[in-house]
Amino acid sequence: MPRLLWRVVEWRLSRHMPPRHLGPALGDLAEDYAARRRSSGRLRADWWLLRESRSLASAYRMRALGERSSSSSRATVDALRFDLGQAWRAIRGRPAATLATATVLTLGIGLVSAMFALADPYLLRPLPYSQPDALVALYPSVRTLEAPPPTLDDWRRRTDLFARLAAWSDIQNLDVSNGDRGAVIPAVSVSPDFLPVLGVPMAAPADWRQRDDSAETPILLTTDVARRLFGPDAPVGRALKSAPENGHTYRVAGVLPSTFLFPSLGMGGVGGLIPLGDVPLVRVRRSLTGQTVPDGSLRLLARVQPGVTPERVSAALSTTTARGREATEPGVRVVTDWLPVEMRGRLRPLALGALGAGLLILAVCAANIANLLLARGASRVHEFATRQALGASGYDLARLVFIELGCLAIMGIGGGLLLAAGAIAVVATVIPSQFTTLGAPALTWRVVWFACASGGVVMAAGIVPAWAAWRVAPATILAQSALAESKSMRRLRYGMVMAQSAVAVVLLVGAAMLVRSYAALFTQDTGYAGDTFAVRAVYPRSLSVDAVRADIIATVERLRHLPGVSSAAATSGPLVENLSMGGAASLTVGTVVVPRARAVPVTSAFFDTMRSRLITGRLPAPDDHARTAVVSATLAAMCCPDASPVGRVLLSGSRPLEIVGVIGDIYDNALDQHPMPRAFVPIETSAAGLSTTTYVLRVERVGPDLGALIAREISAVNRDASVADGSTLRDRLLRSVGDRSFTTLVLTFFAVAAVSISAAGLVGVVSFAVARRTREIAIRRAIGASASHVRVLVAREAATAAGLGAIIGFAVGTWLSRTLQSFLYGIHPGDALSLVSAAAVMLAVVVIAAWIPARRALRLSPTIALRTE
Amino acid sequence: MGLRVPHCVSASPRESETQVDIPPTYVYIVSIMPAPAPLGEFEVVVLMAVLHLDGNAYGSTIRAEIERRSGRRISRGSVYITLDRLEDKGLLASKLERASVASRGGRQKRLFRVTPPGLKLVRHSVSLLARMQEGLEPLLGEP
Repeated sequence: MPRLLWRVVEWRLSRHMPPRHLGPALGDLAEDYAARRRSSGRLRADWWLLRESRSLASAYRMRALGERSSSSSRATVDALRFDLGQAWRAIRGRPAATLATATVLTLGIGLVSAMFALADPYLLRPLPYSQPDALVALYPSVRTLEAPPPTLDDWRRRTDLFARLAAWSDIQNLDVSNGDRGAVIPAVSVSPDFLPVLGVPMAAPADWRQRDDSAETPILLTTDVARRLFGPDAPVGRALKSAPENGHTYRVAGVLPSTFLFPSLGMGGVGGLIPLGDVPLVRVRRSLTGQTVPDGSLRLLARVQPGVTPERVSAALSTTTARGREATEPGVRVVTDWLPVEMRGRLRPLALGALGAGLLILAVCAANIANLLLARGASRVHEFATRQALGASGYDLARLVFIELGCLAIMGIGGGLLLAAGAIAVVATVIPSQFTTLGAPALTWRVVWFACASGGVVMAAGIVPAWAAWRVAPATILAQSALAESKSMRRLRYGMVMAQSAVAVVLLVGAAMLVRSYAALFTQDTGYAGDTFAVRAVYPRSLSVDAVRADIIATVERLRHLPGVSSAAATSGPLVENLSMGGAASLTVGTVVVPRARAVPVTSAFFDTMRSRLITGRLPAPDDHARTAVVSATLAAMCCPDASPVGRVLLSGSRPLEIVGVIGDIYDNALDQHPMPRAFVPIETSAAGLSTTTYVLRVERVGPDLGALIAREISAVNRDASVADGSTLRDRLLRSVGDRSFTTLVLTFFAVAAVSISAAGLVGVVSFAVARRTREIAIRRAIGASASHVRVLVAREAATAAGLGAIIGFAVGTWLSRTLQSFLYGIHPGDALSLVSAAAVMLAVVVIAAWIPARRALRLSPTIALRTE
Repeated sequence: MGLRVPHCVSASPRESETQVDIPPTYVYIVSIMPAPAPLGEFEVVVLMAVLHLDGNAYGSTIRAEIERRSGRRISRGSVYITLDRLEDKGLLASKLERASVASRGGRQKRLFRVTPPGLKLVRHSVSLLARMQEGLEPLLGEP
């Protein structure tokens, strides 16, 4: 007989049954239990026993309450209805306290649920594949070709490792149109068994292979792309012509399920799948010296046999090549990992951290709720004592507190879910794409469950006040005239105030620093006008520099004549796209060599189009543009710290150039990367590096089709140029610091929530202090105490606790701010202004939160106050 | 059977003070409670089950007997409460069996027997039913 279970049953029955009947009743239960256990097994018997004892205890309890009906369920419903009525009356009777509690709950539950929605894709949300835990991603890399490289079929035959093996290759942008609508589809070439390996519920077309150029290629589109191209029409079987007029045709073979997610994080935007031709596992190319060298390989995706680990796969497929006498170096190296780990891996710690911060806020909330209810419970001792005197047991009182708390929790969960839905909607518009690779945050059922569980956590915090209610003895109230509160309880409550205040200040310090950094980012001079429109084009590498240069100059000329365009220019490389511009270089100015400086080829109208700020000298004139150069302020400071560089000679490219002016630094990569030294040289002199070119335009108005218009002009000059989407430089700057914006937003949100919650807690605690000392205040007022004296009297303890907490939080926050180092820009951790402003905000909040209830103490008329006791 | 008093009791002398509700269901005015009613149907059933079991009537067997004969589930609580009530009315008597049984976890049995007044009341109920049935045979069928 399981002892614990029987002890529970005995305890349950002993509370309601007459003691002399208890033993025989337990004997009867034991007899029936034994029979039931023989017939239906132990688990069912245990369950039966619990139910049976509950119903028996309930019947006796109802009899004790005088309930005539012996139907326990009806009686339970009646009792519950009564309790609910009581709880509702208590809630309605104190609207201010209810509002404070519900607000705190709403904030806590809403915030933690929103955070969970954000973190969920990286923690729990299953990947949209069948049995994703058996999928392994393989990234082979081949170093030498001394031994014949492995082939895909070699590896497919390793049935000891793989159940199935699929391959995929790089992403390529297909510029296609269906006759009336066009789109650039980022497409990946995949082998025929790619979808079966993933377990995507969709049959790959039977003729899934690359044909020769003359025939049609099948393509699978994602739901989004299919809708964008064909609207509500059925896309299957329709043709997509590759633009410009080179005429390759793709035939839509199917539409991927809307849940399809490409199994590689860097490929978040995949819009279509096309067949992988007869591409070998290891590509080779001929080097400049005429040798055959490896040139990348396919990427693989495997469903492994049970028990096979990525480490085993890696060890089995990697080979080493003898190098010299003793040393070996890897010949084929295969980096492997479980697919879910690989896909979630990078952001999982961040997600856990964010969720942890959310849970911290929830814990503060729970402490706050316990505090508020404790204060309320203490102010209700009279009521509880009267109830006890009329026959309510401690259990009844605790149940009452719990049901009240349950009602509040339901309000909190409802409000919290509304808040979470709002927060998710807001977050969805600002979240940078690197945080949504596994799917955007959404209010799913899992989030709803999580919110309910959070409500449950807060319910658990209700144990403290419920316990306090249980302990009230009727004699205490009659003996004490003031609202009773033990010393330890008071210490507990002020301790909670202190802890909340400390957490709030820690978050506030962090948020203040991030906000300061963010402000510093956007107040700096970027060196150009934000409304400049930019479009990047990439020319085939096979073209000669001269040919590309001619195309660029011709394109700029055409762009200049577009309607609404006042000036146009081109510059080499990407512009404000957070892309590295290749290796380090150096420039020679006069006799000084400036390291890490780069010459940027530009066309003549570049400075006018960008609205560059001239510091000294002049800008190149149209007639001497080809012979002159302009340097950035940083380069000027590096080459000639004491004099102006104007008039000196810059050695770059094919001929020496005269420096005619200095312009302000240009933030040409990202808003949070300090500008590097740059010399702007005429495009005519550049010997290389023109294949990636950015066209910049000054336009009257940025219309929705401006990018397409420009792309058409670029293609008209060179139809092999691939054109990326255009945008204004301001948009690009914003995008370049997208993750900062997001981190700042989230931390600020947390800080505001924490401060609000701790303010609510402070109001509650000071209100309680006022209620507890009403009589004392009245006497003091009657004998002439001043208003400020009374204010200090009631608010002192709570404000001191909050202040102490703030000091602790201040110290911890300053110390922790070092961890924010990588997020800071333009300020140092421990930045005085941030610290002072955080302290000022917290101080203001403490003063206001303490002052509101203290004011109430002054409004009381002494005669009324004295009568309340 | 009590009378329900459909109003609240204020436990405080002043209106501004705490007011305590007592559920109307729980308030009875004892002085106007009526005389004990004749046996209810379930009480007769329980008494008859005890008679059937003849010396081996205790909680579990009584419940099993009623369930076996009536063919419906009976809650344990209702059986025990009825047994207690019948004992309070003096219609049943119980005693604890001396020897405890191991299969009952060492607990004693509370064995019931019907007292003479109980037997009289069962007889009364049965004959009352029989008398009431006279002349209704075409409607109710033969017993």
